[in-house]
Amino acid sequence: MKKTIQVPIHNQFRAFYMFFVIFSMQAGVGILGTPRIVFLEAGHDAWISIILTYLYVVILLMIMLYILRQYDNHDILGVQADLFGNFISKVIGTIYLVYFSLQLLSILVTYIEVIKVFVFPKSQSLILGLMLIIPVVYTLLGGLRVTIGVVFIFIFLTYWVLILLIEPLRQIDFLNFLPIMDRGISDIMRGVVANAYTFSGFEILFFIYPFVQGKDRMTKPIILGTSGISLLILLSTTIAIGFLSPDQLQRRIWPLLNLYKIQTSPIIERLDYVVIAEWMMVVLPKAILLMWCISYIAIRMYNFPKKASIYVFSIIILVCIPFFNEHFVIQKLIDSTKYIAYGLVYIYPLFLLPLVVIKKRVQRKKKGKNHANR
Amino acid sequence: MQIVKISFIAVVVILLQACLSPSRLEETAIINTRGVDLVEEDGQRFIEATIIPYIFDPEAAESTSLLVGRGTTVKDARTNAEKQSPYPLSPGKINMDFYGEEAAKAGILPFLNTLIRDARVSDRMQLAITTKTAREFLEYKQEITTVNTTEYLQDLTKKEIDLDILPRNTLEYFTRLIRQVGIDPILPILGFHDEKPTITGAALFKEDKYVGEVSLMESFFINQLRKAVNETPLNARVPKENYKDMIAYESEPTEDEEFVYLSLNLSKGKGTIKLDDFDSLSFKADIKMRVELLETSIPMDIKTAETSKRLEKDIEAYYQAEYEKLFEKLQSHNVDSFGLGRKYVATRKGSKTTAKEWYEKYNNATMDFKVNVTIVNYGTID
Repeated sequence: MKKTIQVPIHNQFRAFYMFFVIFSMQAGVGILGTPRIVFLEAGHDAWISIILTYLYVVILLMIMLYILRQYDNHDILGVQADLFGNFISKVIGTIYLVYFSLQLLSILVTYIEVIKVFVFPKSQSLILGLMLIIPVVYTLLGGLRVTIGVVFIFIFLTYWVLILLIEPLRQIDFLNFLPIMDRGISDIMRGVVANAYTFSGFEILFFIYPFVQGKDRMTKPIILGTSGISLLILLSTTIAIGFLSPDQLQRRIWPLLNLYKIQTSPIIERLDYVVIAEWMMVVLPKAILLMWCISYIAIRMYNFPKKASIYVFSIIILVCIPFFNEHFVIQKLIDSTKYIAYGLVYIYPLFLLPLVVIKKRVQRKKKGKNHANR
Repeated sequence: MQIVKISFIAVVVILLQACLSPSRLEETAIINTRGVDLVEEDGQRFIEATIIPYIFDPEAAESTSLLVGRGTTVKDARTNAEKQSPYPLSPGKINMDFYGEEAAKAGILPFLNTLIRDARVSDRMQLAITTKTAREFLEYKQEITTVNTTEYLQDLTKKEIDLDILPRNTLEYFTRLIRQVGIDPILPILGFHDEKPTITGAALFKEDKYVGEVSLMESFFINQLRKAVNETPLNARVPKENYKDMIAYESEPTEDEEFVYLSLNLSKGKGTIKLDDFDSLSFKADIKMRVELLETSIPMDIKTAETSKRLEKDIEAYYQAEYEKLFEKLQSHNVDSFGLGRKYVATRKGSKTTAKEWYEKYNNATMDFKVNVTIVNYGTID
């Protein structure tokens, strides 16, 4: 496995688009349930947990960028190979592969569950899964630039639905937030931990880094991307806490959809149906990017042919979908994905950082000595 | 090659749509109105559902007729009612949901549960209580009028809500308050008056149980402490002796009257509750009302600012007394419709209070009402 990657210019994209990549990767079905999940841990101080999670993610992103910048055009697999050798790098790479596959599977089955509960109870998971996978495969066959383009367009098509939250926003009861900081620090931190699944996705930076043109201009779009999506998560959680009573919030599985349920228009009485349909455009970009990561790792580590990697993993995931048709099985899947995310996304970069720093310092010293000896 | 690929996908997607079973509008009976009662039969309690479905089929003889079913759960009762209907019943568009007196007294949360659980039910359906059983109410209503029952009843309550006399009675609002610590919901009560369906009052709920009744006027007072209200018709009365000098016209029927009755239009009203002292549980309510004077039962001349002030003072005193009476009534039912507990729970010391603890404390609470009335105008005469 080569450590440095040479990316042909026609496969690179401008640093500016990293905003959309990070934004789309951190979005997904997580937002639908986040208000409740955080609320269960942190109570009405959940919004503090979200802000803390955001700050932690920003720090992590800076660390990830720092690690990557120590090398020229390495992805995480290259960095690992440099630090631990090829074998361990392959093992960790495989864990990444499994993790991304679980992520992809979990967002697809969750979205299918939402469709089944809200709109079409009699529909079949496999067919809905097929309908979601086909555009994913189709996009990926077009290459990375097409993928980024699709992600870019979907963002503009999707987020207008947030305007529909205006009615619950107007009815917010600020008493629901009082007293501020009522829960202890431990509860709020537990809320931060509970956020792991929703906020995950930014780890794509480790893989997509070599494809970015103008790497020195990358910091701003990345930070803005994660800030944008964190703001949306914060907004939806705040509205949910302010609008719903604690008891309701604790029991509703997808509080965000409940907020949409009270919004009506003269033509469409149930706007939550519109939102569920729209949500496909939130799920798809994330699914596409996840599938890109999967196929990228497969190509790079196991020398899979490009098309084969896309088809094989799509079919594997598609076949798995019908097995996850019960609520608690899906919850288990999400939980196990979350546990891998703790280690791989939230802790692993912190562990890498000192190693990279030491290694680089040793190398520099060696170089210095070599110079001195000459 | 590209076209083949795309057309293949297009064909697959088109064919896939056939996988969902269609449900035709003409072949479903859409539940518009539902009534829930508790009935006793052979010593066992049953839930009785009365349903007014709407059928689109032009060939169906009656587009709306009544279906009744009994069962151990609401869904079960509905399934039994469905046996009387040629088409499957679809609950997606329940507009009004009635609960008979008995059922409401037993607690309506179990009946609401099925509505909340079903994602296809709209959160904006309206809830109401009926004076007798919901079945009697709906049957009688169906007998005497031919107009679309659901729409009629819906408009009836909606009008009062638009006038801010009643708080919202939607499912979403009711379920929000029902389990909220420190505030209790109220719902309209529908009954018959001179063979016409009317709103007879408002039902006080303690959590999900119907415990008492207040008049529509009192329900407005409660609503005023919850939100900013406007354009509400109001009544007040002031002692006649204070206005001896202003009375412009006397006639026999008004001579012995003790009070002058006023008709007002509220142009803006807002009340705020403050927790004055945490330990002694004393609350303060500050209510500001801007009103227009529309009518006096005895014609009066309000010539000077001084007399206008006098009038305002007396109206204030009247409303203050009404509020105090209402608060006493609420405390006697141990119902916190004003939402005092919300203020209590929002403090740092009281934030862990449970609903049960609050109800115990509530009866010791004292409340100080301060009403401030401003008469904005008197119409074309003064």
